[in-house]
Amino acid sequence: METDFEALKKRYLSEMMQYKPQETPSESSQDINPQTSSETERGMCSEMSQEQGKESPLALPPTETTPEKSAPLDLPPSSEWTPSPAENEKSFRTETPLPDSSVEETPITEQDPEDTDTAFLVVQVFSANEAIPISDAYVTVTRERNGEEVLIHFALTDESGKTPVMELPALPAELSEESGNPHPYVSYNIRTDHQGYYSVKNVNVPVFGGITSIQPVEMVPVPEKEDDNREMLVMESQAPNL
Amino acid sequence: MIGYPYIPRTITVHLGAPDSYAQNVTVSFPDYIKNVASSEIYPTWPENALRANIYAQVSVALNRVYTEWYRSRGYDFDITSSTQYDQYFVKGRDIFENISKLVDELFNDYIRRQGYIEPLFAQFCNGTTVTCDGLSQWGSVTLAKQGKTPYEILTRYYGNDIDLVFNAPIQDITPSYPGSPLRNGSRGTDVRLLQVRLNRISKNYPAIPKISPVDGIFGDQTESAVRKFQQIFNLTSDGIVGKRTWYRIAYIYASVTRLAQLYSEGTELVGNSLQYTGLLREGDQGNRVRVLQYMLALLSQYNQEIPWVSVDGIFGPRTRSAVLSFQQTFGLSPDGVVGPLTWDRLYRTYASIINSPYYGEEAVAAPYPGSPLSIGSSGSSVSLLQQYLGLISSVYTTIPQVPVTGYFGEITKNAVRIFQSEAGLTVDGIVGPATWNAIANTYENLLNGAVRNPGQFPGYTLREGM
Repeated sequence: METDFEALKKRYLSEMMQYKPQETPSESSQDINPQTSSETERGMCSEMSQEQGKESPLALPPTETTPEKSAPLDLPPSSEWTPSPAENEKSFRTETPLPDSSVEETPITEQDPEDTDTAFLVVQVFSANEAIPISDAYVTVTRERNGEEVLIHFALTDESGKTPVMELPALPAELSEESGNPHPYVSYNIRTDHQGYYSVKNVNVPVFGGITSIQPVEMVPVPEKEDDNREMLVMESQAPNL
Repeated sequence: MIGYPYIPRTITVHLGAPDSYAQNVTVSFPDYIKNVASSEIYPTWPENALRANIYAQVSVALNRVYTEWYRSRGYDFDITSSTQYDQYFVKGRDIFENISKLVDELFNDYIRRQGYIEPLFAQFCNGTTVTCDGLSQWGSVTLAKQGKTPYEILTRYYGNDIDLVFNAPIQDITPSYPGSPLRNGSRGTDVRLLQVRLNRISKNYPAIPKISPVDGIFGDQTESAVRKFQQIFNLTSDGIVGKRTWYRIAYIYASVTRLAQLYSEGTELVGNSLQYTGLLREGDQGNRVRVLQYMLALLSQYNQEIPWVSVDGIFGPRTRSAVLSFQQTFGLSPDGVVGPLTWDRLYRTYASIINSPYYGEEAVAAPYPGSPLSIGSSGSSVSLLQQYLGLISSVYTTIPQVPVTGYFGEITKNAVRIFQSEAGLTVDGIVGPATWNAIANTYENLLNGAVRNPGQFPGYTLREGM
């Protein structure tokens, strides 16, 4: 039996696979249908393990252990899915989160040979002009590789609305210190979800070697009586004209 | 803008060329510059190059605001995000931490031509594929590597007859930074203000430990609170309140209290019916317009695309603009008229905010009783007044304690006078609307600042009857 956390993570990954970052971002809603989950059997599942009962997901070894990976994923119908952060709180969130306590690490099996440096990322989630920090938001960091979204990090925000500092493979800083290199940075995609708010997708977020990026995510409440989390706000970063 | 340039608290950016059909977003001025700097240049550049570029970017933005370049031409924004006309701004992008810290330091410094008041329109370009009569971005990197200071870099491109203006005043953000840093061991009214503000912010950000007592003495508790604030808001966590931390605290405090004020205003309006009762359009006036404006104003706190509206009961061009933005954001037909569909959507969005866990937790003082209180007054309003003064006096110890008797005597009058003196009001011992509101706001902020969240250190010791 899976924990809610595990089911949630699978659902996110299946939705990630659907999203193509090259599309022109628009403000209109983007409906992600988790029912078409046939693609989720590849790659992703093998890196996750299935836990019985409600053990803390932090204890999960990041290697494949399950014989179930060839079976189609049974995701709950979207309308019935509700995250229950209150229950999950005990299992993976401590009162004062330590740097790694709420980050589930997944090994990056293929590393781009040019990514010899490390960048750092913190996602900061809030509402109402930073007056309200949003805790327990689900943050997923992925990278596009060969047309697929590869999971790099999955984290929860703490009581101040911040994720722990996440390390990302990056290009060496020297490439951006001289003109002539058109793309001296690596780009990642970030998705943020929380019940009661529109989900947010930040696309093509650039990171530089040795530099910490802070991704602010302002969340907008969903009007009452509307389907939660069916729409998504998409924001795409752009390169400087250098 | 007439008179001396100041830094606007927020700036409205059009997300395209001036005449393009695009959204506007309104963001705080420091956040705008952080975005521009992160969009225009690379964070790996030497610090002096970053500084020089940031000065130029601040000056360009301030020039547009000060000269009312777009507003005077009938546009409803201050600047565009187009590099063809202004400077790059990418809504929702990531901000680089080192750039964020530099902007927190420099956002109220700007360049001006000697002999002129207005901020310089400090044009710039990349210097490789585009050249211009202004700063070369790649050129600044070369100069910085050669050891040039930011000012030297700027004079190279803009001429020697430029000045750098430091620490310009910021609209609605008072008081200004005291000029020298506050640290462990400092004392005074600035420290007490700092403590009150941090306590109020900690209600929304419970990871920040409470400071008690609020005595104007910067000790270990204050230092802990400052360090935690700095860590949350991406400043160097050194426990010292310099200019950057001072203004960051001021901005967050303004956000927090503005939201709280809106909530408490809403409790008066809630009495009004929120049912749709007919079309509302430009030219209409009255209570229904008030309710509309209130919902839009609350929503604008949660959504950068909705501009602020003042709740005055008059449906003018600004209200129409806000309605249009709301309709565009929510995919409704943008006609600036509030029909049943728009009203319904607006109401449901308002309801979702009201029903969120953060609503209703604000301690709210009673509104002004309608006629002034002075020597000889008695009744429940006097009791409330004495109650509010009681909490205030436990923190602002220059104000003597006032027993809650319901009768306004010499003790109460004396306390009121001292409060008025401290608050910069007319010292007459009479509680009219201005004095009442000042007392009520202080009371609310202290009470909200005293609320302890689980895991937090205790706040003030409230006396019995609070």
